[in-house]
Amino acid sequence: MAGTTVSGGSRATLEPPEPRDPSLHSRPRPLRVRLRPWLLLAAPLVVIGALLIYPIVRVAYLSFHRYGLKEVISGHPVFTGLDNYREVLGGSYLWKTVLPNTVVFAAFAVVGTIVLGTLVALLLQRVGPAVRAAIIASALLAWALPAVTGTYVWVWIFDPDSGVVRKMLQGVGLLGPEGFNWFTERLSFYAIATLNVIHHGYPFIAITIFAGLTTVPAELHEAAKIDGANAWQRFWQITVPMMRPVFAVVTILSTIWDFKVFAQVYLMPGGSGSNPDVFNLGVWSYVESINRNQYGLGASIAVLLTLVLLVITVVYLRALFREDEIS
Amino acid sequence: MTVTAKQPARARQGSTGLRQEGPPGLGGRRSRAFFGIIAWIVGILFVLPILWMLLTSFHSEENAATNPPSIAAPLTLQGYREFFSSGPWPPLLNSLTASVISTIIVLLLAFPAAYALSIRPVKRWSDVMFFFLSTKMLPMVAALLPIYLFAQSVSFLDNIWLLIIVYTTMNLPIAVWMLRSFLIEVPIEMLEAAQIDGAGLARTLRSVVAPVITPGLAAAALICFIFSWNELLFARVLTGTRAETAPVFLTGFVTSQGLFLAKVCAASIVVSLPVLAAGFGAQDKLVQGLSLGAVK
Repeated sequence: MAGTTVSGGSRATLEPPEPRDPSLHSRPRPLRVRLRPWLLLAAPLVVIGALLIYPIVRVAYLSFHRYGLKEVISGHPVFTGLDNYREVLGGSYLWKTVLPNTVVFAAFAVVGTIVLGTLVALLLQRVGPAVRAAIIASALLAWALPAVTGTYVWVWIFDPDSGVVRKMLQGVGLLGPEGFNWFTERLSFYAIATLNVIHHGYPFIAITIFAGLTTVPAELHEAAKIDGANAWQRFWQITVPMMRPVFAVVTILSTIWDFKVFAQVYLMPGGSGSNPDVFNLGVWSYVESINRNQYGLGASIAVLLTLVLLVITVVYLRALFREDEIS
Repeated sequence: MTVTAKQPARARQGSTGLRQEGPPGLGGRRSRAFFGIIAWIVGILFVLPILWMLLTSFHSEENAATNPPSIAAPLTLQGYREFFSSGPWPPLLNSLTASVISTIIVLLLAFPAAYALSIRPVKRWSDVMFFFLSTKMLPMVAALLPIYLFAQSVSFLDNIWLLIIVYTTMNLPIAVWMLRSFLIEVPIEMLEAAQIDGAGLARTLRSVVAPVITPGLAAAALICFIFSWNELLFARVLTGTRAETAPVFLTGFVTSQGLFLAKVCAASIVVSLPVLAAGFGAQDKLVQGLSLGAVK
């Protein structure tokens, strides 16, 4: 691990008065010195702990209670045991609508983002400095564009009445004069959301993978080429294995992000409450708690989303970091 | 992994170096055509929408109604004038306040913390790093509800400081991760020299370490700023009329004025402008920060 080597070395070398004497480790340092790093860490740990641990505990607590408007006013949540979970897990709504919306969408978005990001990274490697700067600039533009604005652009492009997609499809005769509302159908709704999320997410992935690509020694490619491997084979047999840690990191990050997508769904027509067919876990939790004041129910959905994310992350970490690869 | 971690710093130094490091001689006709197509797809799919929005924002409402926008239509500032007359300044200033102040607090907290995790690491530094990463797994929606209810019970809603606290927490883990990956590149000799000269920790951080990792600080600051500026979920729920931020104002504006495309496009451009400018003006730093943060 790069981190371990560098940091381990620095600790040894920084010990005055005989910085390079390894025996220094055995001599106990004064308490003040040993505690100082923890003091530096204290503020962030306290801030994050207070603002993240408290909500986790609180949301778990609320998920076992009825906490609607009446209870908010009286200030006393009513304990209802597993009722909220029964309501969420019991019906077919979760299994047939919300969970597929969350999981299938995330799967497509993650794969799409990583494939496109990789292609753009490979493209960046092949072009001259000027073109590369232009591509990076346009990618960063897409990345920095607020999700709010980005979503409106895509909604506008697919507008059922005057959107450019309708005009184009009608122009080539693929769509009848009656048009089509892309936002009422679950599948087309999420196709647009996927496009939007990929658009927003690929720059980060592309730049990260590009940075990783520069670390693959050119000699390996040369050697493989002499052995007669074509570009496709070299990509799978050299680039991918060498880049496994980088791919692991971007996959985990994209998965976490795409499971939590909120604005991109919420801001599309119907996503803010009027079309329950298109909710994902995050939006459902939001609508139940904020729109309908059913805080207990919303909390149980939030707990569910957290658990799903936790399970997926653990499975991922197991599969991807077989040997302790994260540094 | 050591290779992965060390190389980017060197590879970044010259763009010509990068070209040589890429797999050489991949100029087969098929592969060139393939990447040509990709370049076009990326261009059309991902740049055109933004350009259209920009163009439409300068059109009159009648011309804006044509979709795709016509290039020949006369340009006007009408859309922008109408947007600015609808009172966007308070939300824009709120966004600026929340983003700038939270970014400053994040850097002040993250810099010493990253130092304690890299140059003179605590024993369990990897556990601490993992704790920071794990906070990213908590869905914001789950954190939103308790914070909302708590703020409601102590009458702290619709207060810009609430957002500042939330954004600080939200961005702190990323900033620590990023700054740490810059800090482990700082040569030890430099710190030794500072120590021999009798510089204390605060002074070492301020006058020795900070100047060396300025690019890292800038990259972390930019990313925190962009994330805070674009945040919608918390801002929407935790603010009302007083502390409303620009993205919330924009969603309201689009809901009420959605039919006036030029106006809406102008509004979107104005709200995106600060982050677009920040991203565009400092792309090399952003690239460096983004890639270092994740590659390591």
